Amino acid sequence: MDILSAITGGFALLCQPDILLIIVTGTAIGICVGSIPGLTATMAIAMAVPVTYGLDAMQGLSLLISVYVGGMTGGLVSAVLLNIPGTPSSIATTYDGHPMAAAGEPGKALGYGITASFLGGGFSYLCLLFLAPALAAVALELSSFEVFAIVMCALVMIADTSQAPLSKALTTGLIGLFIGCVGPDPIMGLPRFSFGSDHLTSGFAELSLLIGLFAIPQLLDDVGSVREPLKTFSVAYRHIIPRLQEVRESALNIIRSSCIGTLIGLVPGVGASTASLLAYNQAKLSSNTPEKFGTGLKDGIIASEAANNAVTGGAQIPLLTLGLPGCPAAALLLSGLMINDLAPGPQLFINAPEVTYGFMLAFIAANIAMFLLMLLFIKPFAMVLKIPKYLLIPPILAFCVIGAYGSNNRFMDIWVVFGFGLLGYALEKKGYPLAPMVLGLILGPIAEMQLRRGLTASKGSFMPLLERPVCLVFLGIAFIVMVYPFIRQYLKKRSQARQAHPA
Amino acid sequence: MLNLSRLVLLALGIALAAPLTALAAYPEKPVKIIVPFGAGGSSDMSARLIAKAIEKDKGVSIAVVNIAGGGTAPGNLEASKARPDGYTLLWQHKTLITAHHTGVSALNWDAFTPICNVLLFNEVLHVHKDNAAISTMPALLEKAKENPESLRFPVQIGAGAHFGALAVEKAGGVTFHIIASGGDMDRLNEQLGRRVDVVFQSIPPTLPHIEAGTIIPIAVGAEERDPKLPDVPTFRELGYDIITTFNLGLYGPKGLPEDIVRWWEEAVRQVLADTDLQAELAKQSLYPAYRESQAFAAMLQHLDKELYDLAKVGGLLPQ
Repeated sequence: MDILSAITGGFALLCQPDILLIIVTGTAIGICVGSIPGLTATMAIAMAVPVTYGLDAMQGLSLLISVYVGGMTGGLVSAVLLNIPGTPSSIATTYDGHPMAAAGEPGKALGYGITASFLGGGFSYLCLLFLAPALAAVALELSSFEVFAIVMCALVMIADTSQAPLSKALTTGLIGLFIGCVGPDPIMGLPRFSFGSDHLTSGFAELSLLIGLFAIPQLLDDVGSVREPLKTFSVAYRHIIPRLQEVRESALNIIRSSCIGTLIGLVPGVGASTASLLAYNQAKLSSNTPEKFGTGLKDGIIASEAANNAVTGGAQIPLLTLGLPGCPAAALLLSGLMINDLAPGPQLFINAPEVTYGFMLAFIAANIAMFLLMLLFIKPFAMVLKIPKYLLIPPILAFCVIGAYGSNNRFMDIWVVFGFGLLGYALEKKGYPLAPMVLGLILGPIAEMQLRRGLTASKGSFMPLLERPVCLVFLGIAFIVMVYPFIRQYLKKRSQARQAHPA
Repeated sequence: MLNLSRLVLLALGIALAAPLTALAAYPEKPVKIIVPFGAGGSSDMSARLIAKAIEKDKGVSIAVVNIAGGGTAPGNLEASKARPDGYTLLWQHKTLITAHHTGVSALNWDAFTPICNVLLFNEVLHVHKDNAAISTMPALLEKAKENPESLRFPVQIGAGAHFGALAVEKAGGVTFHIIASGGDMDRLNEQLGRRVDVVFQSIPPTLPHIEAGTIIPIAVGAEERDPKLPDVPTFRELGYDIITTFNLGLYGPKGLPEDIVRWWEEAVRQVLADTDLQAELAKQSLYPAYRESQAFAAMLQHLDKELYDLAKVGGLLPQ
């Protein structure tokens, strides 16, 4: 069967009233769950898996896919409106999304995010549809050393000095790296820095740390300003949908971020948060006005959201072609396929071409549903900002606690939220930026694990890092990312000096 | 006065009757089954399928709760600390024992009440098609003998596949280059990317690649051939005493009353006889392997010694 007739077959499977209804409902559920701080897209899929037992293959898969796509985008809502990333993958969205919303343009900020999500997701689904086997072959070539080098490109962003003095950024970055070391070491599994406590042997849960560091300081700040009058803003549709001109201006950014997201999605164990942080930084590096990033720039929102949605398509490529799930969400989709007797791998395209292409097309359908639903939801979502803070803060806090507990059913995770919340609040008040800390604690463990896996393969030799061309390229980029802010500062000082003393 | 003495009598009556009714009516509230693995994998899915079947069969409410990470130690600990009243149980396989012998978990199997063994799944040893020259046990072992520590064998250090690698080393008198590369799927990734030579892996993810001819199976570490791989011999058929089967079973906290153990034995035995459930499980290469409490404990005792010996040879014992 040739690819076109398989696509047509998949399309026919998709265009059933029940399937389309499931996709719209699933996307709406995903958006709602993802937009609640503390609840993630992965949780939404995990909750949907048991429901699929009673459905046929296409129905079940459509449900999981639409919940996934909706959940991935929903995260941007709380990132923009509340400065609390709904999922770890929308951390970089808070950097510019919230400042723009706080400046009175919440509708516009959401509009950029939604459009970028739609385009980034769409780009990756087209790659999935037409380039899957080729891209899967590329992904297989990456060893632990290459993955380590890629992660380092994002990790060195802790030295970015645009938000705070270098000393303070490095301090919190190192705290983050240290926190990431607590728990089982990535190779032997023996607990580190647990001080003999059973509570620390499995380390701090990433989600609890994020909720603690983002939500608690923000909510404490909100409590302080609870009596201030609410800001007025407009969410008229003409402000929400970006003009074609604006999209065209950011075309390069959208394509670059979508490529980064799709490629990171291919690599097992790296994840959407790395992709959005990398894309954000690449957008910043290639911008004419890098100093404006973090103040509410549309390109910051676009980079982060295009990249994290592109991961969803990228991650399906190794899943469908090789049966390798690259992230927890893909692992849940894998179990959804297995329940229906569909074993992903090279034979899937031969044994069940219609369902396979139906699976891919369901992503595209969910992406369109997501875009339309989000436009519909934007006004009610933005209205959240009109709710008096004394009514808004308690339920958000409750969801944060539920989300932290619910992900692993440990009470300890709730103490982590409050403990790190207070630490984050204190650091922020003293002018220590939290962004490097979050980078350290999320990326540090991934980098360490990949490097140490690689070292067991090379019998302890670091030489592969210098011998493999892909490693060299990415380590080179990492080096540039690291030193660029200093060069920029130096150039700025020199030009200021020139202006002060014209030669 | 009359009222008061009536009240006392009533209270006394309730106090006396309470333990009796509690025993008669077990379970009278939802039961929590702790799964010390993440959601989505076969160890988790299997627990959910069994729990759902028992819920339907016995009209009891069961909550499957994932406490993942930390090499299963936190989940094990949580289950062991619960009151032995039959309302908190643990779903585990041999990682309960390997985690203990590698120093990851303080608790061994004997810190629990083994209730019954429920299911098993097997692992297959395989090579990439480019390595067809070593796709039989004699050829593999000969190559490994020629160049000790040269054949690359990816494992998750201290986990099941590592013990599988050690068992092959022991049976064949050889040594491999053990590489830390993470879980089941990571090992498949390394194999398909040609960065390793020989891999121990659970069967479902390998099937499509065996069918496509990319991966060549050598042998299955089971007592009987796996129904999904009827043409692949077991190690025993080939003359090597290597068993790497994962037995999934139910455990309770230490001191679980006898009648509650009986209740679960009965419930599990009944649902395992259901052919629909068997078919559902077989899709994921999971097979019924019922063993009642005593036989289960005997099996664990034997396994414990075997795994301890391997951990000792492999230098995995905690210092």
